[in-house]
Amino acid sequence: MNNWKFWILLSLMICLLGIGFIYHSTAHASAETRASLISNGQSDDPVNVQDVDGDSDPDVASISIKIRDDRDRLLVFDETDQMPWEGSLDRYLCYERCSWVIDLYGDFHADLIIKFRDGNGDALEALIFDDINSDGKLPFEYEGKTLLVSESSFPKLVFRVEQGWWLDNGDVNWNLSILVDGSDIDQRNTYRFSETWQPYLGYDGAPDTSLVFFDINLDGTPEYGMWRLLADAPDITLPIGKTFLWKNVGLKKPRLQSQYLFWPYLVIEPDDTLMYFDTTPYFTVDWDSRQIDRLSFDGYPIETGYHVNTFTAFQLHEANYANFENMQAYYDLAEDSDNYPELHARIGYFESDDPIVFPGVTVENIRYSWNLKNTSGLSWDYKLDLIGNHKLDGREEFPDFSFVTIPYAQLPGWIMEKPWEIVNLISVQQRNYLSTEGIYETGAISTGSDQALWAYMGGWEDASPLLGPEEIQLTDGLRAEVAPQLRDRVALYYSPVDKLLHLFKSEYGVWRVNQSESVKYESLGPEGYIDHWIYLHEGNSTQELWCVSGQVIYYDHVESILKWKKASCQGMLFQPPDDHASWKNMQKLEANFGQETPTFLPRSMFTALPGEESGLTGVAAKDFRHVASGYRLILYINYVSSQFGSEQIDVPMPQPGVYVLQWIDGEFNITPFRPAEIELALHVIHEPYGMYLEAANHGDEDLRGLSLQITSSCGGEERELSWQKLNLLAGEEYHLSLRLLPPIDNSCTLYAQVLKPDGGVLTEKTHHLESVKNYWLQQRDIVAISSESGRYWSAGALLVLVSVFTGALWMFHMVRARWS
Amino acid sequence: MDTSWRLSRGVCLLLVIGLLVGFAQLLRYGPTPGEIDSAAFLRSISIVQQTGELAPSAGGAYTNGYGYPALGLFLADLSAITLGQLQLVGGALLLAWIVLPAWLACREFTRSELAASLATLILLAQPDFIFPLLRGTHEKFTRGLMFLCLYLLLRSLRSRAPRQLSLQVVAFYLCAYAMIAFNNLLGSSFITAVGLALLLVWAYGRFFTSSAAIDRRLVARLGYVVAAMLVVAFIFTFYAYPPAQHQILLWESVIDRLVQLFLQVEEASSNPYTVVSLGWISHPVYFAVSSANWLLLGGSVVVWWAEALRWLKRRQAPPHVLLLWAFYAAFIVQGVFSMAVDISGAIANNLQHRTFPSFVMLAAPLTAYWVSQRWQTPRGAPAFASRGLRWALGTGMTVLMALSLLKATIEPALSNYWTFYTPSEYQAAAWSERALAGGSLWVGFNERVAVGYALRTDGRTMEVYLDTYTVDPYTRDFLLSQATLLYASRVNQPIPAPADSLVTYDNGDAQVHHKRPVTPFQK
Repeated sequence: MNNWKFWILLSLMICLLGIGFIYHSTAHASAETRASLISNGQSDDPVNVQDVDGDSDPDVASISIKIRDDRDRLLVFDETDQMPWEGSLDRYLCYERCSWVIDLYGDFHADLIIKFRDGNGDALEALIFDDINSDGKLPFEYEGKTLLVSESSFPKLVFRVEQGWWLDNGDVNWNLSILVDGSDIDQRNTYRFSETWQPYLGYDGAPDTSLVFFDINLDGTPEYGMWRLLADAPDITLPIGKTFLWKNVGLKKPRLQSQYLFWPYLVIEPDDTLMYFDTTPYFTVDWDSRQIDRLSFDGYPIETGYHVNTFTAFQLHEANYANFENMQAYYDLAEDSDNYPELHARIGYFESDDPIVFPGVTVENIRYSWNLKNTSGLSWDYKLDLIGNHKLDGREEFPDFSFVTIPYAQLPGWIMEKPWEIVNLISVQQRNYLSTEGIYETGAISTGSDQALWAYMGGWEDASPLLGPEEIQLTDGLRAEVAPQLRDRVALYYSPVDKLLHLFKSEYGVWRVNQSESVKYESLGPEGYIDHWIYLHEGNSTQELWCVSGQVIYYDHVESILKWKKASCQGMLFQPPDDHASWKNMQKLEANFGQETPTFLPRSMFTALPGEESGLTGVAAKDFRHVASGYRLILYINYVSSQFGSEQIDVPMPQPGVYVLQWIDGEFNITPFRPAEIELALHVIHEPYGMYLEAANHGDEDLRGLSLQITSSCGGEERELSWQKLNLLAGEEYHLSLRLLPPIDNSCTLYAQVLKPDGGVLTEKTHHLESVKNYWLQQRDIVAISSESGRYWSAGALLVLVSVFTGALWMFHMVRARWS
Repeated sequence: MDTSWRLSRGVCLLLVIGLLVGFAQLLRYGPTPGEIDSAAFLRSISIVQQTGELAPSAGGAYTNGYGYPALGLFLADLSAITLGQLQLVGGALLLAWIVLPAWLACREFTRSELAASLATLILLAQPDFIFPLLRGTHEKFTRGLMFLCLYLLLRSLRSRAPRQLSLQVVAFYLCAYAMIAFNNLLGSSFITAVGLALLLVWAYGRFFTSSAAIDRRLVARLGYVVAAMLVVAFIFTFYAYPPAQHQILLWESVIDRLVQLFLQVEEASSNPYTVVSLGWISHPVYFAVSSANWLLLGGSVVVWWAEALRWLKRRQAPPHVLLLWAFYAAFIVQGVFSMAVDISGAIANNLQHRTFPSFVMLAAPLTAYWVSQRWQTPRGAPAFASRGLRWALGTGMTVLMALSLLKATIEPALSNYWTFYTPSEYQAAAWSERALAGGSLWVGFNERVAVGYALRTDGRTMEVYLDTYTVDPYTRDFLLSQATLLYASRVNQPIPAPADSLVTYDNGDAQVHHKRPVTPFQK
């Protein structure tokens, strides 16, 4: 080869090598090179701009932030080729078509990545990536003005907004939707998903939950928000909240979280938030693990608005059925805008064919609490539990869906105008009751499973789930009373006797004053007012008060005093407050007819009543009972008994003995006492089965807590036919009809016994039944009734005919034929 | 009297007996038995009728085959009777159809018309064979097709003319498909039996006989039958009738339970054989009404062993008898297997019951063949020509038939499982549809009234739910009739209606009692 050709070839090779070296070292810089470039660019400036791809245009703005310490940085990667070399911080904080990488400690490792990009139409999206696989790294690549997250193909969170993150007036744009992929993120105000649901909520690119807000008129105030479970698992029928809806009826304008990092939804440390719609939704990051740990819309509840929490998944463009909490509504009854509601109404609702719980009957259980005194905070004074079977038939309308309910504005009035089956009143007497959802205590309404209540209201359970007066459990300072069969609209009144609020037509109640003191209430008369108070100390009755037909009677067990005076037993009826006017009205009623410091002692109640008192000292009394136009009781007079007052009994004192004292139509009547005299009669009617029992008490003593037991003994085998509790009051009768099986082949003896509370026999009656049929007659009857003809002999004749014919055929055929 | 006339007379007499048995059922109860399987098939047929689909997409079809619903619809349309009447009247009277295929199959097994007649008569006297055939179910047709398959199989084995052979083979596979289409479970059972018989025949030919040529042909033919029928069953189950795949699930649980039973010591979950005493008023009564079964079971086992020993000694067995012997053994094996499954509690505890009729189908001709071989004088005259023996045999047959009819018709005087209902109960149920619409009415300790009412009303959806057995918590009304009271007395159970309930309906014999309301939410 010629020398000059050799040298030309060598030169060309060297040039090619050099070009390749330069190209790789500039246009395709590695991550380490880029990092070193960035690190080399550090300075004291808050924004440090660099060109990492060698195209002479700035690509990355490094912004100093402080999450953990001063080394923390926010790297804004330009994806539009419009990043300037110089400018204020605002010029580099882009929210469209760029990517943010948060690098704590400046260690060149991403701790969180947010990709801002265009969505469909005018929408903007922010895709949030974290260390999904928990390997301590969040790798990415920046190439060709695009940042690609190597960690995963799809983000864990997506924020989407229509027409810009902010409105023209600078407010946050609340037309926002947040999509969550997977179940790793704790979603406050909703649920942490149970293990049952985990397999259905995989991190797979398909969003599993959504949180959306709407500001329809674009004034910076959201009208409502909704969280929905998007993943479906039709084979899971366990109750789980699938839709949560907040309605900002009062149009409260939320403020931003105070510690957000440039973008309002990335929050370093959330504020303490009182009510929903107080602040914006946000997410936080566990920087140690580089993972998003919480997505939240804080605050609970609201002063004017409601939320819905239902097991059903709301569908857009449909009228949806909402169960469970349909709705929890809050009202500013005081109209004081103090950020605290004065009325709370919770509708617990299931329709009879509910696909989750299958109650078999439509039931709503409403909790209706109000703050009458307007005590600051989420404080409550009274609560009604209202249980009924009304089917909700209204609608709350939204732009792209609706759900069946009673509209918020109409709800309190609807509650007041409807009749209710069971109503329970809770009064807070001696404490401040604070809660976000009204008063929880349910008094006589059992706090066991709802199934018992549904079965009872559906009619297929005989036993009422309501607790009796001895079983009601309450915390100190609360008072409860129940109307187990109200079947009417709710009405309240202030009793002129104890100056307390009561439920009209309640049957019994209890006030748990403290650990050792309580007061029991009863309504013994037909008017529907509480007319019996019993003070209990350490479980023992020491004072009692009755109010009957315009007379109040006080009896002190300890001091053996029986007193009476004239007084009204009835108070003015009114409905619970359902708006500002009725709330103010009730405040006036409470001021006029209630008492500031309620008394629980019957003695004090009696003393406070106006009028002259009369009575007896040194006496004992029991079995007080209403009778027509008055009352009766059993009076024990001894040698030291005396009378006082102007209204006296016509009996010379002292006249020791036991008497029946009656007060009827304003007149006393006293007669000698006769002990209980029980008469029991058992009649057997000679039809296939019939028995009639009569029990009567011909004495003056009321017998309570008895039981009636009827058994039969046939051929040595005993069987209980009936058992039931029984009160045999003086002068009253009890009747019972029974059906019996006729004894077959045996004679039977019937035993009817009235048993005392301790199980001892009070009285009994027997009756002997002779056998009506023997075994073979019974067999004959069976054959007869099972026969087409109804005659027992026809079946036998048929059997014989077929059998004989078969046998005869066999014989004939065998004889005449031959084997072949 | 020539052979053909003798043949026709024999078959006709047997048909008459079959009809008489059916009439016995009908005339005993009238059209009022409340039999649960008949009602279940009525519902299946109704669904097919309403939807026009053999395998309705919404479900409800009989999962084991479409044959009976299709045939039932055809018969109902042909005869212009209702489906309920078909199930009740047709179910009983159509029993007679099985006589001809049974006689034909038995004749092929025994090569004797008289033995075939005897075998068929024995079959008609077997209560556990007759009972399912008296119901409105597929079983009478499935059994009949099984007999036809056996007949065609045996006939084709001795056919020499190619045309005749080919026609018989085609007919055999058509019958086999029909049998599978009526019930693929019984079809599978039949395939298994053929396979087991194949093994036995092969083993006999391999180890005990010198007739290699005959055995090879027989074995080969049986092999073809098994393979072809497996293909047919596969096509039917997975393509022709997808609901039949329920069978797959059935088999999975059986295998699971059997593995547990044999590989792991554990207490049996239930023993269906203990319910014998619960179904009848006493053990002696049960054994008495089942005596025909026991006699045949015991006698046929003795015969089988005797024949087996004889062939072992002589090393020669006629092919048709060899097949009879092998099929009998195959069904015995299946019977033992089903007993084990029943004890394990895998499925409905009636597998043993359903295998027994299959066993009886082979036991009867085996016994009849043995009788025909043993009880014959050298001159061909029947050995029991003596008057005394005739009377004895005739009386014995009369008694056996009477006892068998008592069991097959579930005579309520002796059985604790009543299937009849009374007209007054029907009227009370009809009233409840109007007065208790949307509610529930307890109608008895078993399903006789509920099922009977469904049959009477052609299986339509009822306005009231007829509650049976244990009272449902939602039920507040009770139907009490004389039959209910008598049954309660029979089984010593208390009437569930509260003693103080209100009588809201009374037609003289039946009353409706309403539980007295005790809460405001009850009426």
